[in-house]
This record gives sequence, C-alpha cells and structure tokens, in this order.
Amino acid sequence: MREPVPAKASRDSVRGLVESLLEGDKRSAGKLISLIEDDEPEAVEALARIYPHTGRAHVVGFTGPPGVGKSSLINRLVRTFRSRGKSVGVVAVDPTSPYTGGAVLGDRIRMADTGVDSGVFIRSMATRGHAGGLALATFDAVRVLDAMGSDLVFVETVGAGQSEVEIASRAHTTVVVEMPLTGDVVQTMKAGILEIGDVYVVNKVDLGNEDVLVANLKFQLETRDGWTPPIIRTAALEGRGIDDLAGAIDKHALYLDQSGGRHKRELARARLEILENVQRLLVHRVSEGSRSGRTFDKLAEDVATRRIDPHAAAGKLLRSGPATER
Amino acid sequence: MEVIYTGLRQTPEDIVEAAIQEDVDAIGLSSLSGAHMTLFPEVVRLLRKRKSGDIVVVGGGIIPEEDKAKLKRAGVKAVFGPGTSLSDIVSFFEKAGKGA
Repeated sequence: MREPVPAKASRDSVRGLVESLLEGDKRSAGKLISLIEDDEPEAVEALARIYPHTGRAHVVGFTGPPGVGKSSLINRLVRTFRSRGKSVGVVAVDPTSPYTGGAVLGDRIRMADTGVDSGVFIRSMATRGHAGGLALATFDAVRVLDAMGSDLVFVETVGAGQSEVEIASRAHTTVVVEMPLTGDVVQTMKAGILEIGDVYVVNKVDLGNEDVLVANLKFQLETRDGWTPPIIRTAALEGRGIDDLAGAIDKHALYLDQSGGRHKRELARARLEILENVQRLLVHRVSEGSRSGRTFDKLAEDVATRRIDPHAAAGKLLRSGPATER
Repeated sequence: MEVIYTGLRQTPEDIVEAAIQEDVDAIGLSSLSGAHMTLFPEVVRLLRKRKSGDIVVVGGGIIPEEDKAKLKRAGVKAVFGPGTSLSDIVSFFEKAGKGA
C-alpha cells in the first residue's frame, strides 16, 4: 500500500529526511518511522544517522491491563506537560490480529485533545506479531521522536497484562496502571507487575473501592536502590490526580539523574540491544544462501533425522561460518 | 492493512496533522452533515500545502450524485456512497497501493 520512497534517491532522501527531522519536521518523522517499521533497507542507515542525536528525551512507558485507561491518562499528561512548555512524543501500540494480519488502532481517539499542537507528535503502531506488548520498531520510533527534540516520549503498550516486562528494560520510567474492582489480590502478586513499576497508578478512583487495591500495592511494593515506587490515585477522564502523576514522573527522572540510575539503565538497554542485533545478524547469516546457509540446511536434515540434537547443531553452525562475516 | 480511527468531528487541520504523523497511504472521510463540499477539498488542499499530496483521499457518507464529480475534480480520488460493495472498495485500494 505504501507509496515507496524512490529507490534511486534513497541515500540522499534518507539523509534529507534525517536533516529535516533534526529541524523538527513532523512529516520527516512520520516517514522515517514508516521506513523503520516496514524494515526497509534504508532503515539501518536512517537509524545510524539518528542515533548520535538521541539520548535527550526522558522515556516513560505505560503498561497495565486493557481498558484500564492508559490512553486517557496519557492524553491528560500530555496537556499537563505541554502547559509547562515541554514537547511530548507518544508511541501507542495496539495489537495486530493474528488471523488477518490487520489492525485497528484506536488509541488516538482518546488522545484527540491535543489536536494540532505543534509540540505534540502521536504515532500509532501495530504489534505485527511481536510478543511482549510492544512492536519490534517501537523503541526505534522513540529514537526518531527523541532526535526530533521531544523532551518526553510516552510509550503505551497493548496492555496484555503480565507479559510486559520488556517495557521496563527500555524505558527510563515505567508506569504501571491498575484500576479497582478487577481481579483479586492475587492478580497484583503475579510475577513481574510488582517488580517492573517505578510509579504505580490506581486509575478510575471515581468507581470507588480503590482503598483495597492501594493498600494491597503499598503492602507489597518494596524500596529498590533507594527508590520507593509511589502509588498515585487518578481519575483520568475527570482529570483528577494528573498533576500528582506528572510530579511523580518528574521526581523519578530527578532520582535517576542523582543516583546514577539513568546511566545504569542506559547500559542495560545497550547490552540488550547489542545482543538482539547479534541475534538478528546471525539469523540473517544462516538463512541466506551463503555457505553457512547450506550448512544450515544440512544440519536441519541431521536434526530432523535424529543424527544430531538441536543444541549440538547450533554449536556446529556457529563454528562453521567466518565469525566476522557481515 | 492497518486502520487508525481518529474519532468523530475532526477538523481538516486535525485530520491532516494525524495523517502526516501516522504517515498514512490514504485518508477515508465520512460526512453526513452536508458540509462535504467544504471539508473534503479543504483536506486535499492542506495535504498539498504540507507536501503530502501523495496521500489518497476518499470520501463516503451522504453525498449527492451531482457533487461526486466536483469532489473528484477537487482531488478526492473516489466517493463511496451507501450500499457500495466492500469488494469495490477493496479493489480500489489494491489498485491505489500499486502506485496509481
């Protein structure tokens, strides 16, 4: 469907797109995110050009069950931070249907308040089969918005609930959103949810009954590295508690700066991303029609016919090709 | 295919801004209010102004027959009235996707 970027001018056009991105051009930001999302050949060059200009934005991840009010909270928060003169980017992830491969992305409806504010950029993204509540390109899109000059970038996960630990390893601040009257006490104890949050939000307090959930969270949350996750009560649609939440995000950002936690998180993320790319390059290498590709086919035959086990085959494959290739 | 639903009662400016941020291939507009002769061409005009005239604009809703040709002259690529078959719409987008 997409109008292809003219291949003949690709190098120039990638450079041109990145140059106008750095001047704050939204159309270039939109096009660059598409290049990356569609995994076009130009994406590698685009990301290489963008990377040196990133690292300024504070990245905040929002996770929690579907329908808990993440989009509405982000909508309110964007307005709060805009009124303080901060520019904000948003990447909102929604699920792709495993049956049709299509997606209806609806997060934007709940963020419509921002309209044509020049200091706001919202991008919807479908998971396209990636597990963990994020799309593969999500954090590359975050980088585009970072390089464009956003002070804050908000990432909204699909809200699959308990499998969303990935966000915590990539964002500077992770906000876990819950609401009263869902599930029981055990839900909050499930592994992950209590460990990943830097800030906890109990949204929809207008429904009442939030005290049990707040008390339960307070009882279980622990201080880690000198930071005790605060629990913020909000009612996003009424705009209640939003200033408190913005304050908690600011406070966590300050804590990261003062404790050296920001650098620690950046290092952890860097390690993760290098390994991911090693994995991608390896997969690329063995699936190509190269010499290691043929070795791969032969090993597959051996594993299928039980001459060798998959673990041993992997070792053989790694030793077979020149390690420096590509 | 991915569809981004932006909700009701959007201004042409909102629509164009969203289309650029999302880098869409096409915009589908629906109007039941009778304001389509103002709003649809305005979306096309704003897109061109933002160097995004390559984004296909199509319309639907309650559009009188005599307005359809005028809208097409204004740059709206297709108008799908009530009762249009889904396969007509799909084949339009398939053609548009091949760089038409």
